Amino acid sequence: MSREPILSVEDLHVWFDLSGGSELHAVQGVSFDLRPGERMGLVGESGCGKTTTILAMMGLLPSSASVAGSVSLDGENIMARGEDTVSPHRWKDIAMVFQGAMNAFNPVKTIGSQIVEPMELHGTATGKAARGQTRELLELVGISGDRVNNYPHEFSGGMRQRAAIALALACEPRVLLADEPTTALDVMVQAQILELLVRLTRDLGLSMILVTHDLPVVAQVCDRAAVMYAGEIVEMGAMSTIYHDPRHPYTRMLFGATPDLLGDADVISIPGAPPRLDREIVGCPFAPRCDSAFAPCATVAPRRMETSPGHEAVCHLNDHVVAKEPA
Amino acid sequence: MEGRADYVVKRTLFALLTVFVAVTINFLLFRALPGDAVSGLRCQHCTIQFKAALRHDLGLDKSKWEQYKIYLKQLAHGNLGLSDVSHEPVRGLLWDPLKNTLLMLTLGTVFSIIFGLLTGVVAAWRRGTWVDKGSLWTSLAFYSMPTQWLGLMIVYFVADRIGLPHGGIQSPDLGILGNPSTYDYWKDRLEHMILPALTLGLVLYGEYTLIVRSAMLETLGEDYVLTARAKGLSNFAIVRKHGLRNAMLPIVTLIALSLGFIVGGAITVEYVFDYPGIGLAIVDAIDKRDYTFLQGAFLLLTISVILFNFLADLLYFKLDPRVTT
Amino acid sequence: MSTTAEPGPLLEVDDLVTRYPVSRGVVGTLRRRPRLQVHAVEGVSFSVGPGEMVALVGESGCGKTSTAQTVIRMVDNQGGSIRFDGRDITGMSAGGMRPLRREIQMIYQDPYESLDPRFRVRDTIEEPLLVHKLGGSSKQREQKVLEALKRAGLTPPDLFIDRFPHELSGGQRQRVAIAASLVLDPKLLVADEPVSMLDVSVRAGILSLLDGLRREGMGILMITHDLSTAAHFADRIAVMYLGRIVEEGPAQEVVRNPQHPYTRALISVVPKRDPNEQTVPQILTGETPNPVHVPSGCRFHPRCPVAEQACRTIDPSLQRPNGANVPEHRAACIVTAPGPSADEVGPDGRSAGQLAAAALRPAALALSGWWRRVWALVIDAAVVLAGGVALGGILALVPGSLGSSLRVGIGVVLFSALYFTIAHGSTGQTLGKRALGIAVRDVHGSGPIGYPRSFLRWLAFAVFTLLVVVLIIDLLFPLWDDRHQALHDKVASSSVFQV
Repeated sequence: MSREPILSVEDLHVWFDLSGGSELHAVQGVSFDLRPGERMGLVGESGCGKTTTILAMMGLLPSSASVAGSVSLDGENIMARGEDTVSPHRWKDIAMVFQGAMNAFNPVKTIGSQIVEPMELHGTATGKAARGQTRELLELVGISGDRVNNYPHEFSGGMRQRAAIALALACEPRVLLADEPTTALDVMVQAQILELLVRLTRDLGLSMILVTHDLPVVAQVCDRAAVMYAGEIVEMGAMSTIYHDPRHPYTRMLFGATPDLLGDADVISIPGAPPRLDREIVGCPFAPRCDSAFAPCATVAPRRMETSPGHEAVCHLNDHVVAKEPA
Repeated sequence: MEGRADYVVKRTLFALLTVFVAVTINFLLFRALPGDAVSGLRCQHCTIQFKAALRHDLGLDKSKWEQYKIYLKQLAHGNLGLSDVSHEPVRGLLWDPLKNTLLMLTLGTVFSIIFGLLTGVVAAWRRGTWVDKGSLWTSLAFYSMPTQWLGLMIVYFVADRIGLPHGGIQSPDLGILGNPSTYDYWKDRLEHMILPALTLGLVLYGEYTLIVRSAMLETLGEDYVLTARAKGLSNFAIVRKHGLRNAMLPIVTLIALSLGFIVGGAITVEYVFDYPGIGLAIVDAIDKRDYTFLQGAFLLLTISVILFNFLADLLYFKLDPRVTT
Repeated sequence: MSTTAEPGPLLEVDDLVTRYPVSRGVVGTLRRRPRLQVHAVEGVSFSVGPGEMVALVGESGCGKTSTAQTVIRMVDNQGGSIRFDGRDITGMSAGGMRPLRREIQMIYQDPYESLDPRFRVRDTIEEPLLVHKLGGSSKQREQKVLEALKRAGLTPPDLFIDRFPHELSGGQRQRVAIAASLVLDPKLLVADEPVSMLDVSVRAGILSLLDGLRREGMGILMITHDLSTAAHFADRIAVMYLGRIVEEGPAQEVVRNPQHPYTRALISVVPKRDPNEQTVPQILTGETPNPVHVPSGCRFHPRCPVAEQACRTIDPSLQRPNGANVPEHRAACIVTAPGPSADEVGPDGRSAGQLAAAALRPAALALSGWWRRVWALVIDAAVVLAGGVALGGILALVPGSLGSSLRVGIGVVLFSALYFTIAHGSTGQTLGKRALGIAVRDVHGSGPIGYPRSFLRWLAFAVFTLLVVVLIIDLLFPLWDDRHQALHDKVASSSVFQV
């Protein structure tokens, strides 16, 4: 994994204008790299900014949002001139499987016509070729090509999710952003979809960011994970390091709050609630809920530290680790 | 696909059943009144024998059930009976005012649907801008205006300024110098139609704008619209390809519902503009106690409501592949 | 892990059947399409004791929510019985149920929708007291509301009592919903996916709260799709598939030693927290079939990785599998979970007293919906009589020594033996019971009167063989008696043979 990152996010900030004139700082300086063929998990609870982050990367935030920072694809900052620089890459290089993929299809149009749409728009295929490719794509995700003229309501939930993946692959992107792709699905269908995503990323050489609140799903699918809390990535590293040697109490406590099928340990919830993001946060945002908070946590914001190669965390507990700040 | 066929069959049966019920109620309503067409007669030769003979001629001596059967049979032949006043067939009497009303209504609704859709879509698309706010307030104002008041305002302040007639259906001087040409005739008709149609159209315009705006806003918030944006569709293409058809679903129903009612609801407009449509004819018949005519007119209005609903159902069926029941 | 307390279970569900009719539509009716039903729940039996948490686990469409709704009598059942606290509530009227409603409380999935946004916390919790006229003075009511908030973990309660739902977090809302049910001091709590809408970090808190209530003696029926949650918090797990419980037992036993292939697959696909510990998922193809068209035999067989030919026809019942570590573990599979031969051991090793109780159970059951069972019996009797007489008539034509009335008798017995053998061998339903919608499959692995099913089949088979042997002997040795010859002549000369 020493190759150049295919996608690189640097110091991304997103603010939403609130009706009262105040601002909600939803994403507070997120940076990460995604290497070719890598599967990375972006984990966090609702409101932590994970979905906002990837919508910002796609340039899909509503007009009430203002964005700062850079998103580079192959070294080129696609956010440099807003819509003009994003739109040529959107769906062609970076495609997305949406959170509500059950509703990602227009109910009054056939599945096929909706998959053909981006192909013709971006000129990757037209007419007969596009329809042929659509059939192939459906077959690729495990749906019979004969169902290309079906309407979304004629598909089951699992099939609609597969079709949404086929839709994301329509223009042969290199990066796939999957936002909670299995949240509304049953365990068995979830397993089918996760297996499909792993197979596709492997066979097609795709890089993927999997956004989810479900740590075990990331553990099963991803090589690397970034844990988000209150708009920032508090810990990032290889999946097994994160599980066996978490360097941020939030990560550890989140694992502790997740029941494991065959685990014996007690499942313990995290007290309190995440901070409000429409106010300035003093000190560490997790300090009020943290079981290991100490003196500096309430007043001094912790710095991002690389605790071991490729593993970084934002916590005062790591201050004694004499480590260099990541570049 | 059986469910789809089922939908059409069901709606058709339902519409026919409703028509039948309406016909029956219409029959019963006018039979429930005390007395009949004969008992009210007051004249020198109106002896009991004469009345009995008259009842026999009119079939009023038969049982209610027999009368009902006769009524249905006549109706099936398109016979609505003879007017109590002019003793002409009601069908013929209804035709002219109906024609006038329908022409005026078509003009008004086409105006309101086109502009309502346009403003509604633009308002939803440009949500929160001054365009949205402006159209929202305008349509709310028109929507909440009483029709007759708006009509009066137009008669007082608009009609003369733009040189359009404020009443009637034909200029008194038309045809004085011999038969008018077809062009002149229809031009005159149209001039008389514009203001009542505009009055009706403005009120409906307000309503439709509000409906379209909210339906469109809801649709634009759907996940597939976000997907369409991500796929790279332009805003216009999103509205055209993904927004409009879905937003049309609730719009079609509401528009059809309101259309059904305005056939009768045009009464106030026709009264203000003295426009000889069905509404004015009904007012007239009430004045003259022409029950048979009223019966025919009510039947017509009921059926128009049912018909528009049925059309809406069919259109809905066409627009939405999910419809099965 | 608590065991069922002796005073008997709080909730006892036996052979529950819940179906919803499917509209055929006008076209369907005209074309005489068969009347279809959603077989939401098809013969589910389980019990919840005081101080016990039982989890019904399954995927969407497995019937777990329908089961819960039937149990709280929000939906009517078509068969089986529900007993609450010793009383049969199956056919109870709405009025009869009302006093019981306070003892059975429900917690819903979505705390954002189950609370009225215009109600303050106080109003939400007070409402059930007012409905059941239990409140007393407003001061007493407030006291109860504060207590309920405290029990639901919203402390200090003064801080929450005057808030509106939108001022609370998801976890706090769910606690308010729980407080609103606790205020009535229920004995049984039915929780339908109580945490699935909540953030991971607060789920454990809600579940621990329920666990605490269980320790205080409350019975809890939890409906969930999450095996991990069930494994951690429930005492017992019942895994449902297409309207049936396919496996049940103590929670840890079921997840560590699954016997049914469906449970095994389900457990294999649950993602584990440890990235190095991921098992090879055994992914089943397709999705749960439509509960309108339930597959024949074992309903899991079309997706089952180990299905055999027999699975297409045999509808397995729950029984103790050989691989079970504890006696309470049951699974319904003839391939992976064959039970011990029931002829050797009493069903699941119950004592004679328990057997007798089991034998009496049908009688108790008959009290509810007894007429349905009587009519089922009448239909079965009519079928057996008609079929038997027909068979006897044919037998009477065969030359032999036995009198024709005796032959008809034999025909009836033979036919009924066949009838019930086939019925029990395949679906476990006789025509009559099927016609009246009574699910006969016995969930405790024994036959309808408490005998092991194989014993009944053996009995039927024995009777059948015996009679066939008698007939063959009769056929082979027609001249035992002079009378036989005379009879023979009489039969031969009868008009039937002169075609």
